[in-house]
Amino acid sequence: MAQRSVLARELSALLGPERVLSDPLDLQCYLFDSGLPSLLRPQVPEVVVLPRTTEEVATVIRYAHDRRLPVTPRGAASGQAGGAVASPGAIMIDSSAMNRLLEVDPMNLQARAQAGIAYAALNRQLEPFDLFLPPDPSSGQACTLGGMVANNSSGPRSLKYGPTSHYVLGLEVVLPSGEVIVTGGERSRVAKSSSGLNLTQLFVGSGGTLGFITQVRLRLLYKPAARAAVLVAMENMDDGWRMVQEVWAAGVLPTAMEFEYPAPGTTSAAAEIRPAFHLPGAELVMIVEMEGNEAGVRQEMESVLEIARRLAQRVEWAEDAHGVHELWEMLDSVEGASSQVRPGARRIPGGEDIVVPLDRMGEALRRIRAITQKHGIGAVCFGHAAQGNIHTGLLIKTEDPREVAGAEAAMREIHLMALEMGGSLTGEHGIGTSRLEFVAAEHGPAYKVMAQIKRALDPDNIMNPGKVFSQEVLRAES
Amino acid sequence: MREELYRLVRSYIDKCNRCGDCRAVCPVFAEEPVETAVARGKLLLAGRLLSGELAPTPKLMERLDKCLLCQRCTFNCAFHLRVDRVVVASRAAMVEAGALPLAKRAVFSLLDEHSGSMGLLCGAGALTAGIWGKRIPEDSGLRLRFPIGGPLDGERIVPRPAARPFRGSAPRLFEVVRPKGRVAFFTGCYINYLAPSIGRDVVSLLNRAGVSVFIPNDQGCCGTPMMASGDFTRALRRMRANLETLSTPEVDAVVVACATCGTTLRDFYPEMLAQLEPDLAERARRVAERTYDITELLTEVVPLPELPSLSKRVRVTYHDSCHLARGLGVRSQPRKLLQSIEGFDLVEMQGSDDCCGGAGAFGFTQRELSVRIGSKKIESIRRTDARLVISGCHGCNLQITEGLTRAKAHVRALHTAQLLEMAFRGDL
Repeated sequence: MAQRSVLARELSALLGPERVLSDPLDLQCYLFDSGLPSLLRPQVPEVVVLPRTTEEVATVIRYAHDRRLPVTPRGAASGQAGGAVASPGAIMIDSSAMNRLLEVDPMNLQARAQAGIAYAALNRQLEPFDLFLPPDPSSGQACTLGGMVANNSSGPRSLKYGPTSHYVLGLEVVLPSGEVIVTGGERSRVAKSSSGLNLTQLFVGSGGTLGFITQVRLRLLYKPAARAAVLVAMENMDDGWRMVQEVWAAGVLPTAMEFEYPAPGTTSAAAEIRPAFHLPGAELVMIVEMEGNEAGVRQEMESVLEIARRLAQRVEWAEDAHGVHELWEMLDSVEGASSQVRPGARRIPGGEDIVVPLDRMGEALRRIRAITQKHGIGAVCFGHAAQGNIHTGLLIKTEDPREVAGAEAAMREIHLMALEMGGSLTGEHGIGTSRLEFVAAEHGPAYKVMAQIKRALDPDNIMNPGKVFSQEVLRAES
Repeated sequence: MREELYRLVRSYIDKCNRCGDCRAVCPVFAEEPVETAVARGKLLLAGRLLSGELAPTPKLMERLDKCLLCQRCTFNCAFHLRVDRVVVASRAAMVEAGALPLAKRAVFSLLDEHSGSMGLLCGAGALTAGIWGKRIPEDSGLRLRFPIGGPLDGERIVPRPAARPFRGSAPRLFEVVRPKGRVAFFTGCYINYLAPSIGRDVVSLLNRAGVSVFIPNDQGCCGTPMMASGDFTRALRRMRANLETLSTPEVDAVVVACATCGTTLRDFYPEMLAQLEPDLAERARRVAERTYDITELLTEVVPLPELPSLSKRVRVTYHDSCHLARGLGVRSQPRKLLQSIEGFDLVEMQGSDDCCGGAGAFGFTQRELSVRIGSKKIESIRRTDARLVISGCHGCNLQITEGLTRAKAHVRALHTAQLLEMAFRGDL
């Protein structure tokens, strides 16, 4: 393994000293993402580099390739699965300084941007064109476009709009050899193509293991003219899942159908923040949002309201921007209050992104609660009701080793439960390191094919080793 | 002390879930996209320093210095974590270890234990201004004549010091007939030593509103310059002295016309400094409760009975200073005052509450970074085509004036009270 001082000196010569961080004081701020595994087992990068251009990324990767040094790509490290946490001995390439929107092409509903641009900043810059990039990860203020592509991220509104992959038309990628390729057609400005293998989608969701994404060609949409939302509270959460089915059956495609399954007592705590929305005894709180043209949204909202009034104990609705925002805030206040029901506990994402079949949502949530109770910790669950995607926040006292051990055991059991139910380990956060031990069980022989692809592109396994691909599967395919 | 400081801010450090939302709003990170620049990294470093894991080295101080204390991260944080408090606590731990630079020590000692000499010093500065300074076109300050380098290069704009401080050697009372109340005017250093005319504007406005104004002469620096640099010994001494003065039962309220002083009195005294001096907690709370920014008082407590109208229309834009907008929550009040005067066309700039990059000592110690952050504000101001940019913070106005001068923009920065009085006097 190269010495840190040698790496720093040589990389400084290539990029300039201001683009290389090697002081331990600086490096310790790059130990984490926002998940539990990196909190428990922080990993320090050997150096962090801050390139501004594709060429600078390629220079660093060629340097690493020639010396077989591991490379970890990093966006905002807002993830929770460890994907952007340094592999042991890695050169970390931080895309934060690659944050420019390079081109907007309104007539073709497209834009091209550097990978380090934050999702919210990108959409702010698209505002003058009345265009937007729809997948809206909850970490959208911070998360970078490159991170979204690498994890195929999405958010509440992906119900209608779909995940990031639906909006990626092409990529510029620095391969593990240092070679730069453009997928989706080198000069393409088209919205569809069936030409050749779909390499673009191969890199989407690859977790930084196949190359470093430097630029993204995006499909955009015009911003919707109208929005409305309905917030409901159910005493029996099964009514919530019934409502999801009835909304589908009514022919409504909402932008989002989000739920909160709070820890007991949370809704009362939330009422202290927002007294107007006191929900004693609510087992499930859910929001349904519609977007589109005014007439369509009004009609869809009426359909949803009719269903809600039959099934929910409490119904609030709004069709103006401020009112809709308020309803989302109410839902968030339930989530925000969740950490108050266990004094001294922190809410840490863990087993936080499983997906289960829609008809087993209630069962999954009850089992998650039972699992966490068994391990002596608390939990709040929320997520995307109509997609079966459950985010679990574990409420633990991180200074108590028993609770930390309980959290790790609970994470494991939640992941195994998802697979047993015919679900998936992750809906939008990616595999990273925290789900590595379960991937083979989810994919079976298909995992070996993934490993063959990885081997073909990265025979020395320098790109983000220890993420997505286990040592075993790579060894088996070498 | 270090342990005590850690106890004071530990909950903010522990609650950070490292989501990175602070990256979206931090003006320093926008210029230097490294994790030590942003709240998430600062909380980590501060936590390790305060817990004793990290030694108080100059390198660490360099990183902790790169924070404007603008609170943008706090207001963008799901947990509303008070990163500014953590940063000043960590700077205090550094100072405890002997890290207060000589220049700062000299300035703070002048503002604290040798404040009696400040008047003389300002007088001398005013007399000799022609030698060391050059008047700038907008007549709002002096450009330093000599490029002596470092934080005092020849591009710096400084206000002309007052020949005589605003506060006299004895308490002063500006009474009105049948007063609606009596307020104590906490002038702050800027008005006292550098801009007495703004002090006179404030008194005049309060009198126009039917309020008698008492100016205690034994008030002093609010302590923020010291606190922000980690000199808690002097900051605590300033708090103790000012609370003593401002606790007088003879006034109904305390009025400030300095966003920073206001935030200090209303937020940092009761919520931070007094936590280290528990015997002052109750007094700090009581003073905080009756402290108002002048625009709050004139819109919510004693509205001006008559308002002037301008003879010609004047296009103005408003800059929300960090301490006024986020520190005191004062955003609508100054706008309401401007809009209530016939003739002002208030044009909002993009990012009106983006930090101007001044931030007191930051503007000197992080000069180049401060200028870069400030240039965005200047661009936003210029895009409004306004003739005047208004704010409730003298420090911001200084930074903005400097940026406007550098950009050769014919826009003048004024304090809200200045503008209102100019409107009353027909000087616009």
